[in-house]
Amino acid sequence: MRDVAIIGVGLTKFGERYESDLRSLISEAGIAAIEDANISNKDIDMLYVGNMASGRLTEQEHIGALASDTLGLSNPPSLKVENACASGGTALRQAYLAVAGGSSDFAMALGVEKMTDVSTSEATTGLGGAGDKTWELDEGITFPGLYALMARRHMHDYGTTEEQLAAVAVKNHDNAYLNKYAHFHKRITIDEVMKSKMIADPLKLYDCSPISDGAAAAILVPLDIAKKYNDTPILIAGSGQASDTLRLADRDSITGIKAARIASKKAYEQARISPSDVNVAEVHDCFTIAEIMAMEDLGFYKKGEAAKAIENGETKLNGKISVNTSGGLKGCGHPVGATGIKQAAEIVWQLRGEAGERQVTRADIGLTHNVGGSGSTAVVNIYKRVD
Amino acid sequence: MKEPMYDFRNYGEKVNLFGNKCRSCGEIYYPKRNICPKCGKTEFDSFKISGKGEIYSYTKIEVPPEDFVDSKSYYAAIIKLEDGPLINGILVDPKNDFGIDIGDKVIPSMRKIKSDKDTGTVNYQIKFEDIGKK
Repeated sequence: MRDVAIIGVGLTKFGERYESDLRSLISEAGIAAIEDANISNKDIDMLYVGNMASGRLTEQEHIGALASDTLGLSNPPSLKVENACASGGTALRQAYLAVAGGSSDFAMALGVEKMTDVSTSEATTGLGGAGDKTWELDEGITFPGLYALMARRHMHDYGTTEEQLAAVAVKNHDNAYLNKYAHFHKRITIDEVMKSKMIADPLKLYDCSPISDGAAAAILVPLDIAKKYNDTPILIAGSGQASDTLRLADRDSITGIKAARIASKKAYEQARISPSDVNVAEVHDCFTIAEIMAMEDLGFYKKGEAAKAIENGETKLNGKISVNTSGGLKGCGHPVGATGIKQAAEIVWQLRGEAGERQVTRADIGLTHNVGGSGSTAVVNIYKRVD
Repeated sequence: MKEPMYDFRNYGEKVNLFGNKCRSCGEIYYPKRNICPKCGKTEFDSFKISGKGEIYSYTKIEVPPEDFVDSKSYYAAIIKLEDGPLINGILVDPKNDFGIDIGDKVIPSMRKIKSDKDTGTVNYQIKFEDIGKK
């Protein structure tokens, strides 16, 4: 296995991008990544496109070729990677594996989702496919309902409160306020979260990530040539992925995500670090409870202790560990297929020291945590500066 | 998708709560499995779930799916069955004065769940009735 580094990343503004279609989103993020990497579009020899539901949301399939075409690539193998909300993280990991294994020298991972061309109801129904269509959705358990069931049991077992859930949303909106790419540029208060519309008790509207359009891209090369293109290449020091049952009720536990625990253990072992070594993390806060569970699954906090720590501000910008400096899915937005790669872009910027107003003072080791469905897939990657 | 198309392949299993039991390790599954995640064996006997159990977690869904035209909101739960496995389901609207709580006992109850917007075809499903902590 070769060491692999990210030499370029690119992002679009996330949000309701009525003026942009799949092609323009792909162009915006893809060209930004190519320019950031100081390579030519003709150099790219492998393309993985993370996307959940282009067919459902835009009636466009075959977006591997669409992205390759749009970016004017030299006929590389290209394919779409679908793993529900973890599609982006999975595409990035596939690019990592291709470069590590020697079958690619310039791999691009590009995530994209165009979600606002359909009604909110249609988009929500489409996203519901991340859960178990036959045994959950058809039976009346909505997707927010699944995370609500996890939240309720977490509250029961560990005394987690609705205000602590709200604290996640407030923190992530604070971070998003400093991120020009973020969907929301609006600070919110605990009180506003608590008074927002109930979606699936105890989860309210402001506990939920929004429906966003957007794209993100990253260029991965073998570490030994990375310095030719970039003074601060970012090493992918560890990568883990795991799956679990599609239906929530079939899991060993619903107060955490086992797939994330397995994936992170693999990633930590490969990177030879422990959770306390991580300075900055982008985690999958599709709902506020998900960030609390992520803190515990990733080993940053003992089971049942993360909610209080978040409430106490330990995971704010420049806290004990800075979590979701981009604003997370909650504040930055959640164009599903793009999210996992946006997380990597944010970590790359943080480790390079290019995160502007939201720069973390000490950022040597970063981590991304991307979850599919209610925890049926998890991808965890660890990143290090190598200069 | 028109209502009659919904789940017809699993309908019998769903309304009768038919699961199965691994002949080798005895693990009970609902829905049925064809290979045992626990022991890897492939021989099973049909097993009818009693449907009795207790609430493991619950939520009140305030934004129902489009075809759930009958209700503005409803309770959904994960239920720990007396027979072993956990399943998810919808609760019958509580008529009691003790509300819904984790640990409450439930019994199965066949109820109307949705009717197709275009055809009006009615679909039934097993719901669960909260009978309190006794």
